[in-house]
Amino acid sequence: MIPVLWGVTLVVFFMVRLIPGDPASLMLGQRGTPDEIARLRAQLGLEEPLYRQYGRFLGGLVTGELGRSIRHVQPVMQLIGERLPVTMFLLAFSALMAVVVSVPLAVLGAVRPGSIWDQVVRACFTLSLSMPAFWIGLLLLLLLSLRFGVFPVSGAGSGILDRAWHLCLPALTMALSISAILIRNLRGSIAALLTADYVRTARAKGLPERAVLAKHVLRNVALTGITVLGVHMGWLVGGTVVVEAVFAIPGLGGLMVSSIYARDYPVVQGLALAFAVLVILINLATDLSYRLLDPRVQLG
Amino acid sequence: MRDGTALALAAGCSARSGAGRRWRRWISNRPLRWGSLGLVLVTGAAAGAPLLAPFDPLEQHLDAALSPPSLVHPFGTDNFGRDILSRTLHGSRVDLMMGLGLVLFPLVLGTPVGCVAAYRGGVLDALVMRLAEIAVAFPFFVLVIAIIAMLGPGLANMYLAVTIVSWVSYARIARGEIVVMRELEYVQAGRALGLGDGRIVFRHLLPGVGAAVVLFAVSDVVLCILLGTSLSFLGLGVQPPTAEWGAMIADGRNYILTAWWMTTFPGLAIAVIGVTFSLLGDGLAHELRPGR
Repeated sequence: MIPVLWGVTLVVFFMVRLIPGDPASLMLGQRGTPDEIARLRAQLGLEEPLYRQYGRFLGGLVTGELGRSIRHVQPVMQLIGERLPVTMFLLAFSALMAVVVSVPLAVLGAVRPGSIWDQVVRACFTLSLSMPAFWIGLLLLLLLSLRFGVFPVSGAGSGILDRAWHLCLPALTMALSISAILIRNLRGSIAALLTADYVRTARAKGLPERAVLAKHVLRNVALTGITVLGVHMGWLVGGTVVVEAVFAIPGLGGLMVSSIYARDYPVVQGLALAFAVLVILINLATDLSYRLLDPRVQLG
Repeated sequence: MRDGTALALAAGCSARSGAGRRWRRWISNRPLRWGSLGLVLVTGAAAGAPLLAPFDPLEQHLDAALSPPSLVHPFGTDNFGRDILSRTLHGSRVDLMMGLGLVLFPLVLGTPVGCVAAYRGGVLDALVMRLAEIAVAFPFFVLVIAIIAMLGPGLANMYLAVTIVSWVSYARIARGEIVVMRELEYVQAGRALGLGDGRIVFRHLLPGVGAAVVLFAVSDVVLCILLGTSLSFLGLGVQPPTAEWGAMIADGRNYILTAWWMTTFPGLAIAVIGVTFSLLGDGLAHELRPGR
């Protein structure tokens, strides 16, 4: 994990080198006077040799300093801190929604493979995997918010219930894309487990089918579910960028897009780093959760 | 002797009906059948766009702006009075090229790098694997969008950004295949015959990597079309006034209440092309890797 984190800092640091021309004058745009540009160059440390710049960048990271936003005149760290809770809420909400949608559908498919229901579910989710999230989001917005007024049009709300209500459609948009993958994997592993010896034993003991599924099969399927969610978390995190832009949610993704338009490079850089750290932490949490779910797993 | 003739007969039979059987299998493979049909339709629309489109995709008719679907404009018109059907048809050229391009550049770069790294091992291999780990740590979309933010928006920079990030996927797949193939007898025979490393890698190993890479590439087309249209939707990819589906949906966003057709039809087009390549991917997986 440490070498990967170090690599991530290198990528984020050198990212700014891709800017064609002088970052300082690009950031200030037409308004910048030579004096201001020189001052910004000094502030960004562009006059120093590369290794010193990287050293300062790393030193800043250790003390939680990511530079200052040009547009918001605020430390980048503070901007990210303000918006992180909204994005985390959206991520957790959509993951939860994906699980709630996927598990029953996967069970139905596995119990009666090849049935009409199974085929319809599979067709629907191939479709959802092939449609862009921003388009699904816009259609949901049009139908449920604008036409029928069931959900709010934008914003993130305050308080848990209000926030859940505001983020319902965005979370659904994100959940749809990951549900397809989740259902496909869960269905496969449930079907495999249904023929396992211990399931036959449970049935032979006279347990009703419902109890066999709920107590014996689903518990073992949880591992598959967590693995799939963990592996696709990067995809889900990337999805927040587009979805937050569509629904005008003040989270990290929305900040990313608006900072790109404003050429606010320090913020883009800080966000890339924050997103990467978020994914690394989620992967770590996935690994740790195996230990909780399956006592046979040894961490080492 | 009898066994020999029987074998020869059997071999002759299978050779004669080989093509027919292949064709029947291809047709009986439902995802592949529908995917191929979709591909014919989509490439047909792209190739024939100038002939099929009733209007010029950029021609403005301000007096007919925002008109709903009708016989003259089956998909309606946008806020500049441009025909959505014509724009959608012409968009298929842009988006199909984009989807294929976003797959092709990383494939062409990543596959040989992965092959060479796996065959030679050592520092090069370690370096490629570390790079891959770092690239995977970032959410794919975030890294691509951050690189485009630095390079500036536009189609060329989109290709560049995606290639920078996603060559590692192809390198990893190629590497996985080569690590197994490296020790096979025909490769050892090649070495024993004194063939150079370059010849072994490019003439004897690279073709064997094909199936795995092609399978990944076909499903990658779906992701790349979604990625490309998303970037254009955000204004970071294909720039207006070019008829591109993601950018068209972005245009329609401001008129979503009054002109639903501006967002709906380009989105459906993306879904059609996405489903086409999803089906092709599923079907090919069935053909190329039975039992996996």
